Formats: sequence, C-alpha cells, structure tokens
Amino acid sequence: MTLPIYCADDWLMIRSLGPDQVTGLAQAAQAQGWEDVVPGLDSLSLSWNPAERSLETARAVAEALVAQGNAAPAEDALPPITLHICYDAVWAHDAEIVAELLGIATDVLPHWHAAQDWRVAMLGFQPGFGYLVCDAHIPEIPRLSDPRAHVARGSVGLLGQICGLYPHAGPGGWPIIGRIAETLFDPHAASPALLTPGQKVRFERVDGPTLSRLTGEPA
Amino acid sequence: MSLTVIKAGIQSSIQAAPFRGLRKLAVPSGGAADVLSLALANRLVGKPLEAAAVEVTLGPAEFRAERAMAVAVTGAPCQVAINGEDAEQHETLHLAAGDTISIGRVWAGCRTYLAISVDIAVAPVLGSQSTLIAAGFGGLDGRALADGDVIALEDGDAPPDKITTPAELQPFFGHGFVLRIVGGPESDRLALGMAALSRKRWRVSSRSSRMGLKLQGTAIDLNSAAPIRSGAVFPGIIQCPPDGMPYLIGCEGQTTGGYPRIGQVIRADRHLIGQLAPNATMLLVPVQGEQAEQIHAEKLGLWAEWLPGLALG
Repeated sequence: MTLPIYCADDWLMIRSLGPDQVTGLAQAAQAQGWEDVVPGLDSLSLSWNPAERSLETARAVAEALVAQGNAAPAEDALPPITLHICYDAVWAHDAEIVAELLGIATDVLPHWHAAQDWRVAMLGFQPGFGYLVCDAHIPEIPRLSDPRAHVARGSVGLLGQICGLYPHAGPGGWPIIGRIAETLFDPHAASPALLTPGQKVRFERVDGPTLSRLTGEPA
Repeated sequence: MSLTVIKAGIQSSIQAAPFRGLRKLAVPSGGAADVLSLALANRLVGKPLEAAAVEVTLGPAEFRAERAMAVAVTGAPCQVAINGEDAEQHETLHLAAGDTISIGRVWAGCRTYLAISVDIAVAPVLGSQSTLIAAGFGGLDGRALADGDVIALEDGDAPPDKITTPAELQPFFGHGFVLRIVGGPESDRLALGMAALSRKRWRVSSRSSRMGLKLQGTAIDLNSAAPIRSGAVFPGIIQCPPDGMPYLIGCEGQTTGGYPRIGQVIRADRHLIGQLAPNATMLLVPVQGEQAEQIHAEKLGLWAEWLPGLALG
C-alpha cells in the first residue's frame, strides 16, 4: 500500500493531490516555516532542517496541513497572465507531429492550443521552467526520441496534458509548437520567476514581426 | 586587489552558501558540493563558514595572490605548493603579493576548497555568491573559472594567525564511500526491496558533474513501469531511469523529476556526494528516518566546537 505521505529524513511529500489541492496546500504551507515548499504535478513536497525541526514535528505539521482539507487556492492573489505566442513554422518545429497525434490539421493547432484553459501546475527542470496543465483530455504525446541540441528561449512544448515553457535556450526533448515573447526567469529581478503555481495562463497569438518587436531580437 | 586564476583545471568555480528556499522556482540548491570542507577551509582563514571560496574539481589548478592574504586548502587530499614549495592542507597559509599557490591532482575524493581571508567581491544573486553553472548565474559571470580570470577581492584586515584543523576533525577521503540512505517515494517499486541498492557496490561513471552522478553496477529491476507524475527531487535522491542504472542527484541537480525515486542519501551524508569522483565506489546503507536524524545530530555535534553553526544543507 502506498501511504499518502512519504517521509524521508528531511523532507516529505503529500501524494495523490489534484491541481487545486497542490496550489491550496502550497499556499497554506508557506506560513508553516518549511525550508522549501515544492509543488509537483500531483504532489506537494516540504523540506526542513533537522537541526531546527524534528522528523516527528514535521510529520505532525504536514498531517495537520492535510487535515485542514482541500484548502482552495486564493485566486485573487494570482492574477491571470497573458503570454504572447508566435506559432510560425520557424518556431513550431514539431507542429505537424503534434497535430497528427491530436487528430487535427496543423493549421488548426494554434487555435486549439490558445483556446485551452491553461494554468501553471509547477515550476521544475530549470529555473523558471513552467509546467502548465488544462482540463481537456489530450492524448499522450511522447518526448522526442532524439532530443534537440538547441531550442530557443521561450519555446513552448507539448507533452499531452502538459504544456512546458522553456525559460532559457538549450537542449530540449519536448515537441515544440511555438515560442513566447516573455522572459520567464530573471535572477536579478525582484520577483525572478514570471509564473506562479496556480496562476491561469492565456496565450495571445502574435505574428513573427510582433514577436521580434517584443523580444527585441531581429526577425 | 585580486586573485588571478593561472590554471583553472577541469572545473573551478566560486561557491559559497546554497540558494535556500528557491526550489519552488526550480532554482537548484547549488553552493559548495562538499559543505563540510568549505566550512573547514573558511574556519582556517577566519571567515564565516559559508563565505565564498574557490571550489576546485580534481585538480590541478593554480592561482596567484596580487596582495598579501591568508588562504587555506581543504577537501580531497592532494599536493599543495606555494611558489613550488610544499605546503600543508588544513593549515592557514600566508601569501605575499605575487605568490602562487598550486593545488595538485587529487589522490582520492574529488573537490578541494581554497578559502581566502579577504572577501571575494562578486555580487550576490538571489542571496548567494555561489555559481549555478548549468543555469548560468551567480559567482563570476555565472560560469566556471577560466585561465586568466581575475577574481576581485574586497579590502581586508591583516591576515589571521596560523591555525590547523585538529587532526581528529580532518575528514578522511579514500576511493570507497559509505552513504547512508532512506527509502524514496517509489521504493515500493524495487522488485528486491532496498537490498537492490544495499547489497551491491556501485561505481561512479564518468558521466558525473555537480548536477548528478550516473552509477554503474547491476541493473535494478522495478516491479512497475507506470509513469510517475513529475514531482520534487532533492540533492541525494537516487532515481532509477529506464536503463536500471541509478542516477544520484547532486547539489546543482534539477528540482523536479519524472523517474522513480528509489532512495535518498540522508542529509548528514550529502556533503560526501561532492567528493565522489568518476571510478569511486560506494556502498549504500539503508537506515530509518529517525536514525538519520540522530546521525545528523551526532555529526553536527562532532564539529560543533570547531565549526559552530555548521549547516549540512
């Protein structure tokens, strides 16, 4: 049997949570003095310093958090965000494969993608990398069998239910369907990550010249 | 006033305290791979335990002091020399302007630390002067040091007097390591239970970095191939990718992952991960969470007098 709370020696993980539960519990956990509060797609992990908190106390605090029930995320604290996305073929390397797996025409993919109700589930993989989810049932889309050596910063990938946003240029294994103009992570900014778990995301389609203007890169 | 990098070697970087509380932004912990050796080095030059120092991987590396300063070298055992004359590890060393200090190739272990009595003048990013090499920020321009780099230093007081780490507090590094582990969130998938990890000797492959270490040994059987929904990983997590060869997350490893997490190196032993070089071997010894807590308290207790306020994470 899999226990609802996994416990290591300095972190624990609350399992089998719905997206709203992850966000709600993560918000409630911020006030509990954990070292790190890390949302996952269906879990929430909490870590502590054993010099400051005992394993027994940590477990009890986490159990109390879960017992509070399905704390709903405070939506007002998280205004929705609009991301400007260009679906031009020059950025959408894998649009054809993805559209085929979704059973739609390639030229319909942008409309389909922008029409979903996306929200941020978690950040992971690289600083500021966003994992977005939506309620629509989306067939599995596998990772590329041969990861790309270079994807542009702002690239938008799709792995079935999960839409991933690359903050930095670099290697990447997600099928890519477009590119956004926004900077997702700036370590020197007061608020380094653009996205916050629980936040709703709207994609606004822009053309190539607009993307260049917004990113300040030559077209 | 500065320290010049004559020879950076395989990978040298400025490392200090980890980035704390930022894993929800997917910012790795980073910082010194071996926090105990960093603390011991800083102690010898009168600095706070988590002050910025130079982390040298495997060696050799060489530096030139452009002003008078005290330095100290701790961590993996190697030959240290000042202007070509042998010098000791675990001892305050005084350099005059123009002196060079060389750190030889390590005999065992993986990383040495060069602490400096004057402050390194790099601006902290997100609360730390440490370098996140993969993410490309912090430290000196967010990158490993290169030959010819000049590390700017603040003005400093007169160098401290010579002291030596008490012999019984100098960590010993060989080629074999024992890391104690607790189960991971998906340990129930281990077809042979924790014995799959503990009854074998694991070897560190050459595919190893501050981000993580690929281990070689007998492939691990899992009794389920059901996909994992991405969730948190921490330094010391042992993942089981499809090839069955464990992957040990390092201090600069990513914050989330989608492979089964079959074990977790306990916090008290995580600093040792920074001393695992390719070809090092290790035994993974399962303990319970409460035992791990006790080991952590005992380890801090051992160094409490010499390194007050030491944090192993």
